[in-house]
Amino acid sequence: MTKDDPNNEASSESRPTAKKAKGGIDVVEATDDRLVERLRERFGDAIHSAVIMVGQRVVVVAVDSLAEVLTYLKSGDELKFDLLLDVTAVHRPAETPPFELVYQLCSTSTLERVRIKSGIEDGASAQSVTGIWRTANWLERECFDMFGIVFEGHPDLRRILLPEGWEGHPLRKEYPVEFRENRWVADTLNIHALPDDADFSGKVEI
Amino acid sequence: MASDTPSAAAHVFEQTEMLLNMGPQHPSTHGVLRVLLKLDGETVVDLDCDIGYLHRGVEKICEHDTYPMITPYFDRLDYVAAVNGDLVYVEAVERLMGVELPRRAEYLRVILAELQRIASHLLWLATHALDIGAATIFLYAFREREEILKIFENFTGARLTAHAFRIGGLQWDANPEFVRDVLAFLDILPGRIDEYETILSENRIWLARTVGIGVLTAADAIDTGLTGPVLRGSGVAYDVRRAAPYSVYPEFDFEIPTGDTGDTYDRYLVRMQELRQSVRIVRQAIEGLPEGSVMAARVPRVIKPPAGEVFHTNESPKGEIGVYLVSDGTNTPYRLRVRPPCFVNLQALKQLAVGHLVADVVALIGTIDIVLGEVDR
Amino acid sequence: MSERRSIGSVLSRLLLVDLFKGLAVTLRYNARALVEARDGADPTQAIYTAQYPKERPLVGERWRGAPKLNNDPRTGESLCIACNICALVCPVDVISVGQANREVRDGEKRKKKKVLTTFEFDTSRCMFCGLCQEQCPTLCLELTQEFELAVESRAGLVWDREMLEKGIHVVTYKK
Ligand code: SF4
Ligand code: SF4
Repeated sequence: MTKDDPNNEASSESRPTAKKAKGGIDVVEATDDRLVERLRERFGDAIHSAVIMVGQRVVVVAVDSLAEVLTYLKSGDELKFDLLLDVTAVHRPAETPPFELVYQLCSTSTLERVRIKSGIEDGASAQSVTGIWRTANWLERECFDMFGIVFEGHPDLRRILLPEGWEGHPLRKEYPVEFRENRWVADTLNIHALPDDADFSGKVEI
Repeated sequence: MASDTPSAAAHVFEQTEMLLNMGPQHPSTHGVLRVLLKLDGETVVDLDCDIGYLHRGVEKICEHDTYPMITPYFDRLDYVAAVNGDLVYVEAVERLMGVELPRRAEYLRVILAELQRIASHLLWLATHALDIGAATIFLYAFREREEILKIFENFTGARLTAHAFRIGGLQWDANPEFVRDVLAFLDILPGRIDEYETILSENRIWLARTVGIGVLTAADAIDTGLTGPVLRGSGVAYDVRRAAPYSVYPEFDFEIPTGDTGDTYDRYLVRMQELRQSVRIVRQAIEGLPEGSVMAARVPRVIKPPAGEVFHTNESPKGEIGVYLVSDGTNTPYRLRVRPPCFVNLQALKQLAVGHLVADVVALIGTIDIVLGEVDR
Repeated sequence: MSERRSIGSVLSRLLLVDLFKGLAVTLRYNARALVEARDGADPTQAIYTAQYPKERPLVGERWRGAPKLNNDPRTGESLCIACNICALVCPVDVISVGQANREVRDGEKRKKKKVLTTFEFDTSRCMFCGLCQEQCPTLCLELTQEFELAVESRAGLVWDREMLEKGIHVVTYKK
């Protein structure tokens, strides 16, 4: 299938990135892919779409069956995706659902790779995969810290890079990149916003 | 305190566990890492890492900067392996844009990246040995690293945060003395590695501090998501240069050294072998260095990768560094995620240290080889 | 690795072979240091120390150091055309370019031209990535080989146009 094919599942399902705008990259339906076939066979409708993008396999999964799919990928018959490289999320406020969880898997024996994605509502929680891969512990904590996505079943879900008591989740799109007054900074570090008539010329003798 | 009634004092002595705070300003934590240790006597019962002191919000900043402006930030993630950071970022963008590089550019990139790997491993060796008490190695390794930094200085214009690559190639071709300098360095280095090994490999203090300390089985290491020398020390021959080849690495002949017991000493041996393998790669690349331009011909002035996403990974000296780039077709990334090897590897500290003595925590932080700039981003 | 267990034979342990092997390496350097030349920074020599500040290191030609605004050597006027590209491309917003429209004489004609009025460069936040000098269309802004940027006050880190055109004052020490 070509990138302009309107029947491409990637655009109709919850696959928000693949805007088929001109100049977009080729997104090919993963039709004769063994892994995808097996996933479809086993999970049926829970597999929303499966595409090949820049030579990489991307499978979009319903969030409810995410943990099952990942468990199957890790320990299912011959798959053995034993290395979880990354857990992260993407925030797209304009889409529904607004968040997308992204898992990068790799197999150290077959060296195959796959990216599993899953849309998730703001405020909804995902199943933690710490029971499947121990490495998910910090990665999920970071995801929670940055996006506020709650992982159910995580042994120790708290902020990791930002201090306890910080307000907001910085990688959400509504969080500004500029400095804004912040209660944590004011209380803990005693740093307050400069007054409006502050001299920014840098010509202050110290 | 006035309240030391006999019962209160007795309570203090009954308590066997104590909490010890290590860092964030501790020389052996290699940056601003705070480790909370729960000790029973000298033995570590539990520990927790407190990170984020160096968090600069690079991923957020990247969403607001144009593509060329992001490269310098990648220098500053793992600042002792800046070139490898640059490489993974520019390659990710190029992969999304479908840019083909001239071969000379690819070769120069490999040479610089491997030199940076040597520099990073030398810095690791220096600080790791210093933590354990071998101060001579520290000075020796820094002396060799200095040569690499000089090569970088002459090639890229900076010693540490090199900003070596641009999207589509390199800014400059190699300086005229580059090949001569690199070859001169390659002639010196193997003999120097022999010297380090003479001093360390059989030294009884070194063996006592490293053999059998922090053993990780292969299955454990994979489960914890470890990559790089820490994983290979446990006997898994997983190296991104072979597993998901990038750049022109398939053209070079090199081995992937692995350990077999997965202790601190094996990880030391693996890294020493990697130094030699990197020397091999650089020598092959210098010998086969093609002529030609160093910038791809059709790189637009304003870089706007097509809408789409890519996850590109490289073998950095610390492990597998990855960039997950989501583009919406504008001149800034929609989302840019760095898969940080140090962050993931640091997670293993708890597994490694529990049951060992508090003095070994220092050796174990060293053996994971973390850089806090990348842990905290 | 198996060989390391066989190494621990009783004799070599008793005779401290491992220790003397290591000492031999360091002592060889000590001996060489006595006879070899003492001018620093040659990696093949035993002594590897440059005597800064008495010996000024030669930094690379491409070194990205103190910023400088170049003047046209023929006319003495600034090469800067106040195009603002350097300020736009800087990732950390270090540069601010002040511009004004002035009437200039071009032979007989008079015409309006954008000229540079002020130029501010905050070296305290600059990360010397070199993007600004790369993008400058007239080769006006340059990162020079000077590297001694320390000053005594924070205000001194913000360089104005005059400072940028003059370049920094380098103190040299006698050997
Ligand atoms: S060197 Fe980089 S950080 Fe410094 S002013 Fe130029 S663009 Fe900005
Ligand atoms: S890019 Fe060059 S010419 Fe343009 S404003 Fe900056 S210094 Fe002046």
